[in-house]
Amino acid sequence: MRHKSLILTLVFLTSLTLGGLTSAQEPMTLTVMRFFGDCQDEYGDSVDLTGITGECGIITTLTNMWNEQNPDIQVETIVAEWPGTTQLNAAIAAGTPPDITVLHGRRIPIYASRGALTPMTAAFTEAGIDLADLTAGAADYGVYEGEYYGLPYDLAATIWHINLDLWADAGLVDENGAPVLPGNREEFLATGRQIYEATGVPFADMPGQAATVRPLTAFIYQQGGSLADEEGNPTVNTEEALNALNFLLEIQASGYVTTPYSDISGAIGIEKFSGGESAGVIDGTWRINVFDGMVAGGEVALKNYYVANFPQIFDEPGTFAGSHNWLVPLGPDADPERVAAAAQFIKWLSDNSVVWARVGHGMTRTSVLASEEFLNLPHRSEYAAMSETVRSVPREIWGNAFWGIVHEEVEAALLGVKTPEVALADAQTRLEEFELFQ
Amino acid sequence: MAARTVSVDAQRPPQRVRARRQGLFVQAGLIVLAALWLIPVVWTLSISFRPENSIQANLSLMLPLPFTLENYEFVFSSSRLLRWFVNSLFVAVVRTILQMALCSLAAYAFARMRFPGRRFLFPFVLIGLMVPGQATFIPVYLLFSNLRLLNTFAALILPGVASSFAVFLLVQFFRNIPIELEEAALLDGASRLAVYLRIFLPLSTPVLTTLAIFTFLGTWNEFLWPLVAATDPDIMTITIGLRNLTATVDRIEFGQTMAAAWAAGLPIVFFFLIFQRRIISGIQLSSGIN
Repeated sequence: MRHKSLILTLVFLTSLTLGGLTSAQEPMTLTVMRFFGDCQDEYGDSVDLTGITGECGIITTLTNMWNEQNPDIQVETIVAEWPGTTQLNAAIAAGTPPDITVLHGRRIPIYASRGALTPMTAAFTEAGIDLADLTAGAADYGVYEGEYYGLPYDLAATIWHINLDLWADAGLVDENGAPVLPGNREEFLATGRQIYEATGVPFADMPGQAATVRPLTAFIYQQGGSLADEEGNPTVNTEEALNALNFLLEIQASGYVTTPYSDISGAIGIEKFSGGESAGVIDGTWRINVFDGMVAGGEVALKNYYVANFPQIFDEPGTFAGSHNWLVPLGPDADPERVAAAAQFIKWLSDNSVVWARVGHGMTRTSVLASEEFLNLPHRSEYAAMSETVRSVPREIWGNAFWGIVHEEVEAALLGVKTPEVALADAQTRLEEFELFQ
Repeated sequence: MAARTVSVDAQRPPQRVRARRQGLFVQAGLIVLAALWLIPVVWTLSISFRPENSIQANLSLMLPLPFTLENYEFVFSSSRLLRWFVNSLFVAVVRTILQMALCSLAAYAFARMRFPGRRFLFPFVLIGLMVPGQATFIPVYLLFSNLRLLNTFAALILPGVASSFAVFLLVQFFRNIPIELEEAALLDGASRLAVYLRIFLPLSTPVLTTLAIFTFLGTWNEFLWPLVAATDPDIMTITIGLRNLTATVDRIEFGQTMAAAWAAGLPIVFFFLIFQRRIISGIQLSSGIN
């Protein structure tokens, strides 16, 4: 009997010890739901970032590197369909959200206002993320009501892709080999005329939203205008907005700029630009590698490629950009241990964001912008200043709806279906109605 | 007056010739419409055989020049393509079989059996025809989440098994089967199940085939539900897997995207070629055209 008790006690103690050891060794697994595609076949085992320039390859490799270096916090990826909201919404509704996700910054207010996101200011700081290192332009993108919910990872801005040879034909390249960019309304049209007369092609093609919501917003900001009042209500029907829209109509009518607003994918803009049928295309940062690849391939008319910031027409610099943000959709009462682990992974991504610059996106951290690795990347120095001057849509729940509504109304004005005044009034009404039903 | 009428009639071509001319016009119109429909299809096929640099330099070119197989090599080099293909096949086949079995049984009951609540239940089933799938999307998702069935084949198969449309179509067909056949069998001592299995199912082969074809095609092409119900690459269907392979903002790979679309769609093309007569008669059957 005594032996039996002893054996039972030993078994009990052993199981306790082993159990304790096992639980101590069990790694925490974080799920990361992200878009950027699935490239497991190519980069599933990759732990070396050398030569990788695409979003999918970089993010997959960074995740693999993290898993290799952090056996106690393993990361599992769920690849979501862009823009990531369908699967995220379903997962949140089912009460099974991922630990980390990536969303465009303009979507943060709508999720945060519904309690779907975890406030991260403290967790980011505790993880060692220097929020003061964010550029002036980028800092706002992850914020809602003064709290950081997301960490801005990049700036997907509208920039000016330029065919230097065509600009040189018009005598608009300076001694440093840079294009002579227009600085105001009159210069913009004069530059367009000069290039058109010298080459016979438009000097800027503005496909899709690059013809509508993006330039309109940028031109409003360049006049010192705002898209929201002090209470956070939308203010689209303003004098600055009317000036901006009239300018868009003016440049469309000039013929020096083409505004194929229906070219949502930008494919036609790429074809025209690479084929030498336009001297420039105003499109996203994510096109840089595409054009560089074409130039390197040598099979297109485009030979000398340059990148400039979005043109400044009014008094202040201002560029419109979106931003991918890493955030934690576990709600305000999330397990602090998981939140801390998630913040660590986000810090890892942020610390390596210079690699992300290879994609072409603008950087959000001052230290990265100053780094040699960043400046050595092709073209990056040509538009790096944008990181300070970009502006997001207001951090309000209607910020996401702003894109679609303003795109449609500006398109109607460009088509001549509505006068600029009516288009802006309709945009204002629609945004107010949207706000009312939230 | 009569002579004048004769003269006009004599100038007119015979009715048979007129009908033939009209037929030619209709055919010519249909050929033009078919060509218009074919242009984007041929375009996507052409793009899938062109190198990416060439596509981006001249997107609108209809000829696959220069010709390359590299896009298909990329798609078929995915180690998981076969898995996704088999997943899609499994899900489509099993759902089709289950739907046939379940809905034909329900339809038989509604068409021929008298039971309490039948008058109430049948319209209730028909209401399902009027409720769009988007409206039930979140509740169905929550149901499968609560049952812990997400990321399983059950999640991909079960939601489509009970179909209001299938029940409605089969009920209409079953009601037209002469009741004398059923009564004779029952008098001979056949059970209800035997009547269903030995009389109704064999007589309903055309409508069941039609339904099976539409269910299979619909399941194979389904995108939104598999997108949220199966995020595990081992469970994914081919529509989702291929989309993930080609979906990045910074890489515009039209060639790979089109090759992926054709890889996913090719089985359906063959399926249509094999069953086209059935599919056309099925469309006529379900739309009431005789």
